[in-house]
Amino acid sequence: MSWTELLSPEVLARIADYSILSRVAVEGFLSGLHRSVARGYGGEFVQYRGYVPGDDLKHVDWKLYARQGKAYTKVYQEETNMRCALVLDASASMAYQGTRAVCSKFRYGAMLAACLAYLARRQGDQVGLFVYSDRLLTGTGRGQRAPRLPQLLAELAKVEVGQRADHAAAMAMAEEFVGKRGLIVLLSDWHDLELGLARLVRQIRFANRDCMVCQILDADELDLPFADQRRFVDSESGDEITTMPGLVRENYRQRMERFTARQREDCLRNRTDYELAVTNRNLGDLLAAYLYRREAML
Amino acid sequence: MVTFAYPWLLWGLLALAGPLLLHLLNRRRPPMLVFPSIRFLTRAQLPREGRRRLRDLFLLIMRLLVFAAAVLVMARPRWVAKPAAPAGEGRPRAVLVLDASASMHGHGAAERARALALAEVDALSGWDIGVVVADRAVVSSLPPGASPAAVRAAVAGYVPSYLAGSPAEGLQQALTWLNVGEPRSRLVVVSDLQRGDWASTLAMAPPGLEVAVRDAGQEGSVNVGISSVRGMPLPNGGHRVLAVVRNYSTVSQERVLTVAAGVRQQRQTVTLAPLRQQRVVLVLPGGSEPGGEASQGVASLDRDGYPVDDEYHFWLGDLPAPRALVVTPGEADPASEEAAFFVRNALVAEDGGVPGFAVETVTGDLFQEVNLAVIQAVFLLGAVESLASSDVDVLRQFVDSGGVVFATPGAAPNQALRALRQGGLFAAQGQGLTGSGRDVSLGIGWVDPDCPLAGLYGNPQESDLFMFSIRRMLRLSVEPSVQVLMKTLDGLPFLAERAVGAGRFYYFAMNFSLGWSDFPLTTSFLPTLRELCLVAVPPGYGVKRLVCGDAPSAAGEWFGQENAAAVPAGGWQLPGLYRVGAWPVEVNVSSRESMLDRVNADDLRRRLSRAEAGRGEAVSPAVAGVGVGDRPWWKICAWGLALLLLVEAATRLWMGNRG
Repeated sequence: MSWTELLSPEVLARIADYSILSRVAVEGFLSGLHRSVARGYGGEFVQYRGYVPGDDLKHVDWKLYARQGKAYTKVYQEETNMRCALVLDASASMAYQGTRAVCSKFRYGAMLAACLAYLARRQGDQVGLFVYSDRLLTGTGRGQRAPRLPQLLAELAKVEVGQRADHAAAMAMAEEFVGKRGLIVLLSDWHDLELGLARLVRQIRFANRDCMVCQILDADELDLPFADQRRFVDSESGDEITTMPGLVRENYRQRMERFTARQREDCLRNRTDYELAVTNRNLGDLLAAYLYRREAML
Repeated sequence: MVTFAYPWLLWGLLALAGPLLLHLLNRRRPPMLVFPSIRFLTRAQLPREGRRRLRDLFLLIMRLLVFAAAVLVMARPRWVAKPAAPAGEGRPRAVLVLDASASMHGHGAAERARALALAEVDALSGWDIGVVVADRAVVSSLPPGASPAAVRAAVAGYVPSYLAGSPAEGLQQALTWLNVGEPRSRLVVVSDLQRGDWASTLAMAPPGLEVAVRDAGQEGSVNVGISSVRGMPLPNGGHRVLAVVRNYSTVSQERVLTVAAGVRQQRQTVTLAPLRQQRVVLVLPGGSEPGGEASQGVASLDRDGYPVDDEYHFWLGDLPAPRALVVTPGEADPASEEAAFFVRNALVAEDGGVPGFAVETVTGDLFQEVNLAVIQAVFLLGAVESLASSDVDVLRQFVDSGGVVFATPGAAPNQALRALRQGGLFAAQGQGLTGSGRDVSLGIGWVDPDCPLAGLYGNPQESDLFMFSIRRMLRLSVEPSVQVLMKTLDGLPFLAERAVGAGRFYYFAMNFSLGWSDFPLTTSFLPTLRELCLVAVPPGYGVKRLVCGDAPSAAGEWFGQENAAAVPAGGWQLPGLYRVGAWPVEVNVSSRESMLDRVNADDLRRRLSRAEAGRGEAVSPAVAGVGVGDRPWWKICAWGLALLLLVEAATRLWMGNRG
């Protein structure tokens, strides 16, 4: 099985343990990109490796060269001080799983959060996870140490989806966790924050914090593929509407496109990364797209 | 005219309401879907243009037709041609075939048959009517043309017999009176349609003949009958009676079984599961008066709808002894004489209440004079050498037909074994005598655990089989077709068996005289011979068991030529106990007649007249004008069903793709 296959939601959805999932996903993703893990020339010494032309001579261990007659270069662990908050929406709308998706939106968001947490922990960052619906379901409180990765992922696995979303309370906790500088990753479908997302992002950016917005939607939500007449019930409000999808599809698509375009514009206007994650899309592709773009921006 | 084999299945058409209901429910209640982004959805009017409704309607009609076709296929519709119109001035002719098999005794079938036949006579006013009463053969008959009063009298005098039914002969008789050339002919069968009688009936009616079947049977009847009874003598003079009682109905039944012989009587209540049989063992105490009525047992159940099988006659008295033939060499041979003495004594003795054999002794040169048909076991005590090759052939036929032959080595064992091999009786070679002239003592060391003798000698401590000394014996080298049943301590074959046809050939590697061994003096000698004789003399030997109307095919062999004339030509017609010479004969009603399974009247009518399709060339012009007879429409319905299923699936697929 190739790494791209390994990162497909079909495969990842079968893995119940988020710690395994994140390792599978990230290792596969990294090996696919031929990137080294966070090793470099600053910080804490990790290991020797054989000298290759092009290496900085100042990192060559000359004492070892004198003893053994072979040149070795010292390799160090890169050090960062960044704190990263992963804020995941667990409201009822995230429970939706369409006909073409192999997992729900929440599960997809959780997999994404697990991968990002794993990546951040590998490069030594502090990671906090904040899962919320109408209240904070799990999160790192004020003054607490950032949880270790297994603990964080175990908490993620225990979350139950439901209720409406109260984004503000979770944001406040996340901002408190990252401090003055840090990265806040927002994972939600943003259905109930069509107009409020810009204000939320602006608030994060004004405090000089880095922010990434990931909008998680199901493919059914984008194109409304249903054939027969249906009675649609809103997952959060319980409102009902009976309609013929075939007749209203075009109108629905236009409104959905306007919605996602507006979210994107609001993010970009505030110099915030925006990523639309469709639940049947390969998780590896999504991570790659985001990290490339982020690297380019830096 | 359309007819159905299973018209009650047409009630299945009510299932048409299913798709209709589903359709209406689906229209009214669209499926619910919990959806996160319904704020982008708008309400939409359902299509009013009717195109979709038409598609739905088409699908609905398809599904209704599928259901209807499925029901029709199961109901087996047929097109039955109307009977031919009178072509001439002659009177129409009909023959009533009344089933007189034993099953008609049950559940009021005989009365119903009589009433149905009389109603038919009334309905066929102006016809020439004949009557055939038949069980397995024609019991009585009245050709067409008799006066109505005579016909009514023939019907009123109809009484079922106790014989198992086989309607072919009665139908054949009726058909000889119903020619196709006649202006109009009708065959009317009146029967309880019991499956045992009618299951194997083949098409017999010629083309153009109108066949009607009138059902005199009754659905939902119950019946419990006695299938068999065996009586076994006990050492105290009593008898152990094993009865097999069978419940033919689909509900549990409780009956009281009574077994009586003379003044002795035992009862037991039997509870029978549906369609199961049960073995019941009763013990009759020893009677004071031997023979007479005490020998004639009757097992009976309390009566149900079919009383004929509630009584079973069986024999408890003395049985004729099986006959054994001991053959010794022609010349005076003390060893063979001694062996014959021991064998004779062992065979004539009673063994566990089982009477001994009647033993006849002949010398080898007189063997050809013996009638082996009345012999069950032959003992060749060193006498094979004295037999001619034709005698060996006769022996071969005897064993083939189920007899048992025992042989021991004589003066020239190798020559005897060669003769037996050439006759196809045994396959072994002699390798000389062992123990002769030397101070050697052998004994039995092994008995084949799979042979019947293993049951006798399973526990060596309880038998003296392994204790006697063998002074002389023949070394045998047997071929694979021969099974060694007993071996000596050093592994030499002592007793070998070869299956030949229905019988067995046994060869002992030693003679039964004391010069060879002490075997004849042991307590194992008698049971060994008796056990081996069971092939030819099974338990219960001596009683002849027949069903009413069955005559033994070889009465001379069964009862002896002198008694064969006492056997009625058509067998015994009534159940009971009979005696032919020394042989008791148990005659009971066939248990086939007890079964409650019935054939379908319409199926039977079609089966009787199925010849029409296969004999198209024989159809007379008058008949051909009417039509070609029955047509199985269910096949057309089946093809229609397959087609409808395809159309329905295609429509559903198309509608799914169109959304």
